[in-house]
Parts: sequence; structure tokens; C-alpha cells
Amino acid sequence: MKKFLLSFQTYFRILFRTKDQLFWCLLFPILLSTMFHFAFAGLITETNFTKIPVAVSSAYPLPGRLKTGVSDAMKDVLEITFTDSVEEAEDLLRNGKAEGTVFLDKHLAMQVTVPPGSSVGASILAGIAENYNLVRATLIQTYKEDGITGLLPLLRQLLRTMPGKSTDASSAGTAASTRDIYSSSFVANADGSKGVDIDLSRINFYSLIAMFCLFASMSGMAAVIMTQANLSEFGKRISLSSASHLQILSGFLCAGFLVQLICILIGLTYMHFALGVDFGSDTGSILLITAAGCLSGVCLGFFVGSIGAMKESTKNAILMVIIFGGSAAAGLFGGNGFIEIEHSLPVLNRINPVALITDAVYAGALNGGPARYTKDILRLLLISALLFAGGVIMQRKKSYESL
Amino acid sequence: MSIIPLLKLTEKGKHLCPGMSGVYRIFTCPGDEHDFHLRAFYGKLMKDRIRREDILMKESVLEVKGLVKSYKELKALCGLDLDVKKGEIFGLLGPNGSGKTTAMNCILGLLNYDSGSIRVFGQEMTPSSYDIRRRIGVVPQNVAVSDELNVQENIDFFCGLYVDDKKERKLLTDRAIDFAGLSQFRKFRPKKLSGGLLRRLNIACGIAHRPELIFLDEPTVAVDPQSRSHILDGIEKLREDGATIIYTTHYMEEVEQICDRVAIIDAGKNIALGTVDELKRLAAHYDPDNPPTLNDIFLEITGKQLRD
Repeated sequence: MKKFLLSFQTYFRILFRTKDQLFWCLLFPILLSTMFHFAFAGLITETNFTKIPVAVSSAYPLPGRLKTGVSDAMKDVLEITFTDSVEEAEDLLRNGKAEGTVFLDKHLAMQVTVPPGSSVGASILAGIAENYNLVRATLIQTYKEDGITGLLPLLRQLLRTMPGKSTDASSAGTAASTRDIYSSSFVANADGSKGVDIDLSRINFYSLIAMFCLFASMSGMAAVIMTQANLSEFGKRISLSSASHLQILSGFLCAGFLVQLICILIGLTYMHFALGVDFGSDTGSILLITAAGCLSGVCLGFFVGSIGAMKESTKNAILMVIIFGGSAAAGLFGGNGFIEIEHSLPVLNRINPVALITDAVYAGALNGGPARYTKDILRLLLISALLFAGGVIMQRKKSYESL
Repeated sequence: MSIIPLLKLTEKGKHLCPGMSGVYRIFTCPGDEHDFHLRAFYGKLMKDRIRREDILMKESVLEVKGLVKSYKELKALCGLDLDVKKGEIFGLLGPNGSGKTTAMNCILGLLNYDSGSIRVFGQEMTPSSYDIRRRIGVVPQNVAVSDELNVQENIDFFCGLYVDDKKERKLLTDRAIDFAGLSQFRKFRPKKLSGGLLRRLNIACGIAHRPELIFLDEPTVAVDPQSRSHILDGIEKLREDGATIIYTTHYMEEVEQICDRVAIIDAGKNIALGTVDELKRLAAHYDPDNPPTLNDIFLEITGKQLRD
């Protein structure tokens, strides 16, 4: 125990004095969140959002009721002008009266045209169309495979993901606002809980937090490198000592976890008080998920660091691919990675720690549902346990074939 | 009777002729016929001989027998034998790639080996021999400290890997700092230290817990004469305090200065063993009035071809 405490204390000190570590785990999150703040905050908020003018045409006349329904549903986001022909819509686009055109073809697929070098509004429009087409394709595919019986549960599910809106299936496809589509595309309320209004920029911050939780993997991997004889001289010295290697390593990993948690908490405080990011009222649940996230990060680093006798740079590259790949898949860098993966390969969302952390922060902050929150935490803990066990198995080797 | 292996003999009591195609002979001492001639011929070696015999009477701290280690097709060690006695400074010499570091890593339980036996303090050394390791100190060739910890913290950490008691650890750390002459630099981070100070820190980290057996792997590489002298004096002091030291280096004058016995390793096995003077007598044309340097002997024994 004394050696554990000694290694914990020493590594804690080392991490807080390592400039790289402090940059990536403390300064970088603060810088990036500040950048996100200026890039997104206020862009899609209730008060500051400027409606996107859009011209809508279709291959066949749209019923008046549908037009009204769509206009109402999108009123916070889109300023819709229905035109009788594609040409008329294109005229509006050319004249600058619309930021994009939407055309519903005879198969009810949505085609969006935006001018080159288009604005953020046009990008949102493209996002809406992408989501719409994805939902449409899913419905068609389900109908083809399972008929109307297969379609009904899906429609029911779809209704649940469009909270606070019409409950009749006929309007479900068009009733969701941009915000709903974005939020539902990011995190599906699978347990049917009631959704809430959401500031879209928050999701980016949540993903950011998730990504930074996984940055704990760096200190986890560094701990392995510093204790392994075939990876560093420092490690060689530790391996030659009379202290149990795993005891020292455990102390290092715990210190790595704590340092990352402290960094994240500083980051959260900054985001909340300086940038005004809302994390809801349940602070405890946010802290818990952050801790679970840091734990999974440290375990990930421990696991990757323990794989064979690869070079440190190779292991670093593996970690970066996992962290940034996972963040992209969770939608941090835009796009609808999460929902697409949810449709095509949902298991990826269940094993991607970034997606799980983001989802859990979302659920925790926005009362997205205790069941979902708990499931996410449990999955994260399971992943952490598996990674840790894998790392321990690889670390059990006490002597090497070569150094 | 102790065995002094590998002195090469040609004619009785005359010259020892390494480099010729003679067979290595193991001769024993004292009382050996050849040894008698040697003593008579090289009277000045008597004192040295007696000292060696004193050492050989002592118990073995490290016994390595028939150690074989291969890296795939490359045989790094081919039946290495070593017998290091308590309280001696034992020089382990060899050209680059001769197997010194591999041998040390095998002895310390870091590397697996194919066959042979290693006994330290009379017990078999295994990767989990923590009790034995507690009595061993290692000073690696490369400086192995944390740049983020200052001198005192580095020594304290490595000492703490062996010693649990905080008070004792503090005393030992202070002692190691004094020993290495680092008192003025306690709060300095390694990056602020000169090459010589870094080497001394490296040594302090390895010996702070007062080990009985110390492995020093080229501790004086790239240091100035003052630091080197300080380090060598320190090593002698450690021996005086009762430690046994296994010392590897490429600086022959250091070996001449401090080592009681020397083993020269090449191609994974020891090809010569004895005191410095004994090794000098291996010269093909030994002149007692103008004896060769150990460096000459080393080159004569191991050849002048470049090594990897």
C-alpha cells in the first residue's frame, strides 16, 4: 500500500508538472470550448437565431394542410416560401431571397440546392434534408422487409423522438423542428422519455467533454510506458526494484485518473461560468459521468499502452485514431455520424466511449431519462473493466525476450 | 581451491601468449607449478595475488553458470560463467555487442534466458525474487530519472521503491544526496543539471537504498575528469561500506584504478578473467619494466576489428 501511495503521489506530481499533459488535458479543452462558444453559441439559440429563407417546390402539388403543418413546425428555423415550380424556386435563390431550395421529387425524396460557398444556414438545411432522407429510406426499407406491421413500431418510435409535437403518424415526418431533428439525430430517446428543448451548441460542448474524458488515456498510456522495462529507462529501473510492478502501475493509473478528473472539472467550471454552458440542475450526475468517462479513458490508455512492444509513437497514433474517430462518430465535428451508425451498426454506438459519454451527459443534463443515463454509465464501466482486465493480462509478463 | 579460468599459457613459467592458437587452460592457485613460476618472475605481483586470494576466499554474491541466451538465430550469450565475490569491485569488459548488457539483464531477471543458472546471494534469481532485488542496486547506462521531479524527489522515489519507512527513506535520501555531492542541487530539475551532475544523480537513485550488490553500467560516460574522479572515489567508498560492485565500462584506466578482478567477455562468453595485472601478463611480449596497458591487452584479446 505504501508503494502504491508513493507512486500515486509521484505520478500526480509528474503529471501536473508535464507541460504537454497540462496543455492537452487542461488548456486545450478550455481553448476549444472557447472557440466552440464563439463559433456556435448564439447561432442556434432561441433568441439570436435568424430564420433560414428557403424555397420549396415539389414534383406534385402539396396539400394545403401539409404546407401549413410544415410551415408551423419549422417556423422557428425556416422561413418557407412554397413555389409552383423548380424554376421559380431557383429564381428566389438567384435573387438572394432564399438561402437554398428544397425539391420533393415524385418519390418524396428531398433534394436540396445551396449555392457554392453557402452559409451556415444552408448547411443546416442540408442537414435537415439528410435526416429526412435517412428516415424516409429507413421507413421504405422496413416496409419492404416487414410490411406495414414492421413499419408501425418504427413510426411509434419516430413519434417519441419528436417530443412535444403532433402525435399522429401522418404529420410525424414533417412536424419536427430543426432542433428536434438535430437533437433526436444526436441522441435518440430510446426509452420514450419526454424530450426537452435544447440549445444545439450544448451538444458540441457535451461531445467535447466526452472527448476530453478520453484524453485521460494519454496519462494511462504514459503510466504504462514509465513502468515498463522495454519501453523506457525509467520503467527499467522500476522493473528492477523490489516493488510489485502492478502496484506501482496502479498508483500511476489512479493518479492519471484523478489529474484528468481535476482538469475536466476545471474545464466544466470554465464552460459553465465563463461560457454559460448549461449542464442542467443535476450536477451530481454530470460529475459521475465525467468520472466514469475519465476512468474509461485511463483504462483505454492502459490497454493500448500494454499492447506488445510497439513504439510509443505507434501507440499514440492508435489512441488518437480511437479518440478522434470516436468523437467524429459521435458527431463532434458535425454531421450525423451518431444517427447513421445507430441505423447501420448500432453496436458501434454502444462501444464508442465518446458516444456513450455524450449521450449520458445529455441524458443527465437534460433529464433525458435515468434509464438511459444508467445504461450509459454501466456500459462505460463495463468497457473500462474489460480494457483494464485486458491490460492486466498483458502486463503480467515479468521478464522479456528482448529489451 | 578456487578456479581462475582462461589464462592462456604456452611455455611453463614464461610468457602468456594470447592471440596464438593455444588452448585456454584453467590453472589453479596457489601451489600450481605455473603459478609458482609466475610469482617468481613477477614478484611485484605478489601483493596483488594475495589480494585476489583474499577475495576468492570470500563467499559468492553472484554465481552465473553456463548462461545461454539467444535472440532468434543470434546467440548473445554462449555459456557465460561468472563468480563475483563479496566485497569486490568486479569489472565486466567487452566490446560493443559482446553480451555484457544482455548478461546483466538476464542476471537482474529482466530477460528470459535459454539455459544456465543464476544465483544471487546464494539463491536462484527469478523475475519475482523481490527479496533478492531489495538487496540489489542498479545504475543503468542511460540516465533514468524523471525530468518533472527535482533531485531530491527523484532519489526519494527510487529509494521508496525499496524502503517503506518514511523517516528511514528521508535519511537514506539525504545520505545519497551527500554521497553524490548534490546537496546544493536538491531542488534542481534534471534539465538544469550538467552532464556530470546528471550522472551523479543517476548513481544516487540506484544506491540510495544501500544495496549490497550494485550494478554500475558505464556510469562515467560523457563526464568531465572531475566528475569521473568523484564517481570513482564514490564507488570505492561504496565498497568500503561493504557493497559488492559489478562495473562495466569502456574506460580501461578506470578499471585499472578501481577493479579487483576483471572479466573480458566477447561473443557471449568470458575469454579472460583475473586481476588487472594478471590480464596484463597475457600480453604476447610482456615486459615487466614497461608493462602494457589494459587497453593493449583488451585489443589483443578481443581483436581490432570494428564491432556493431
